[in-house]
Amino acid sequence: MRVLIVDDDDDIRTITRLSLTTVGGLDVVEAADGRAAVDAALCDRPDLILLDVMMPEMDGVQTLAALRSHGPIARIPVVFLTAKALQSEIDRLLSFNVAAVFVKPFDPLTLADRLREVERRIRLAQSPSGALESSRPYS
Amino acid sequence: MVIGLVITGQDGIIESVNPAAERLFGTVSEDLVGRHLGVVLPAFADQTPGKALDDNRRLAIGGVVESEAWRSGHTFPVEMALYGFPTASGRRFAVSLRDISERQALDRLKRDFVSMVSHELRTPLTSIHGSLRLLRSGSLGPVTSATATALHIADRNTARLLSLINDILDCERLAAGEALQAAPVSMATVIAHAVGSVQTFADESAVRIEQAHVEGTVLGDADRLVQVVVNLLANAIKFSPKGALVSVASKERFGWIEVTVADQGRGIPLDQRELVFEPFHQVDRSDARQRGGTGLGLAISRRIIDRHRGAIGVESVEGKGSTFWFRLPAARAAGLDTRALALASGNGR
Repeated sequence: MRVLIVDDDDDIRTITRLSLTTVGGLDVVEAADGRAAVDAALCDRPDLILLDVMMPEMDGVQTLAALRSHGPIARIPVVFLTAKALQSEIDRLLSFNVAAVFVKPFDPLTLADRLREVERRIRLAQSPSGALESSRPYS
Repeated sequence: MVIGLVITGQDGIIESVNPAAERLFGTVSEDLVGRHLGVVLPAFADQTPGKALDDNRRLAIGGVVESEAWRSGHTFPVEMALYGFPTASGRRFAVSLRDISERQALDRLKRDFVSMVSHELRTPLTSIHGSLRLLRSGSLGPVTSATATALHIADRNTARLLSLINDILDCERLAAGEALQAAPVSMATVIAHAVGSVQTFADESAVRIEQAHVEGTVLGDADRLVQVVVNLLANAIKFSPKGALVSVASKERFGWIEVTVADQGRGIPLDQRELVFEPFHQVDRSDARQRGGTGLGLAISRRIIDRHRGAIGVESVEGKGSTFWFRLPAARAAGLDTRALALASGNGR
C-alpha cells in the first residue's frame, strides 16, 4: 500500500514517514503543500492520501477539492489529519466525504494499522469515498 | 448589569416598560405600550406569556432562557425570564431581559482562542510524542537501559501535557453546551467499562478494585458517564496506599441511581471537599507533580453530571478515606427525554 503524506511541517512529515515505513512497512511519498500533493498524486498514484488540514496557501480542504478536480486521482481515499480535536471540527471535516479524520498527536506505532483498516473498510464497502470512520479525539 | 423589564396583560399586550428596556429595544415607551410583545420578542409572536409559561418548563420554574429580541430591524441575543403575578385587575406578566451580545462574543472569542492554542500545542507535541514513541519502541535501533529511562520520563511528561490540553478542551466543550447522547444506559456496563480502563493503573499501583453491588439504568450519555467513573476510580487509586481496596457500587434509591467510589486513602479536609470540584484545585499543591493528573478531572465530572441533571459530591474521613458519589435520575423515573437532556446547558444557565 502506498500512502501520500501531505503536511507543511517537516518534522511531522518525518515522523509520519518513519511510522509508516519503518514500523508499518508501507510505501510512502511526501508533499509539503497542496500543489505538490496534486503533482505527487498524479505522478505516484498512491492508494491513500494522509492530508494535513491546516497548511498555508492551500489548506487541506482546498487541496482535497484540487485532488477531486483531477479525474485520475479524484477517487483516491483521503484521510484528514487535524490538530483541532473539537467534535464540531471533526464533523465539519467528515462532511467533505473523506474516508476518516485522525487527530494529532497520533500513535506512530499504530498509524499504519489504522490506515490499513480504513483501506480495508473502503474495499469492503466497495465505495472509494464515504465518511466511514471518525477517530475519537481521546482514543 | 442593566435589566430590561416589560409588563404585559394576559393577551401579551405591553402595558409598561422600564428605561432599560427602552434602551434595549432602541425605542421609547410610547412606541411599545399597547403593542403585542411579539413585536420586540419573536418568541411571543404567536403565543401569549401564559402559554409560554405552560409550555416551557425552565421558564415555569423561574429559570432563564436564551432568546432573541428586535432592535432597529435586527435581532440580538437576550437572556429572558418570565413571571406571572396576580393584580386587582387580573393576571399580569413581567418579562426581564438582559442583552447577552457581548457575553456571546466573548464566549466565541474564548472558544476560538482555545481552539487555536490547542492546534499550536498539538502540532509540536505530535513530533515530540511520535519521536519518543518510535525511539522507545526500538524501531529506530537498540535502546540502552539509561536511554530507556530518560525516554520514559520524557514520554510520561509529554503524555501529561497532552492530557492537560485534552482536559482543557473537554471543559470548553462541556461549557459550550456540546450535545450529549441520551439513551438508556446500564450502570453495570458503565462500571465494567470504567474498571477495565483503570485496571492496569490499579495493578501498577498495587490497589485492588472491588465491584460491590451494581444495579440501575439511567438515561444518559454512556461515554461521558464512563468518563466520570474512570475519573473517580483513577483518583481513588492515585490516593490509595499500596495494598488498599477501592470499592465501586451503584444502588437504586427513591427513583435515583447512586454510584459510589470508596477508597482507603488519606481523606480530604472538610474545607476542601467542595473545592476539589473546582478546576485545577489540588488538596496538596505537590499532588499534580507527584501523582500526575491535571486537576480538571473532578471539574469535568461535575459538568457532566450537571448536564445529566444529577448531583455529585464527596464524603470523607481524614486518615481513613473518601467516598465520591454521584446521583442520576433512574431511567424509568427520570421523566427525561432526549430533548430535556439537550436543554441542559453546559454553563448552568
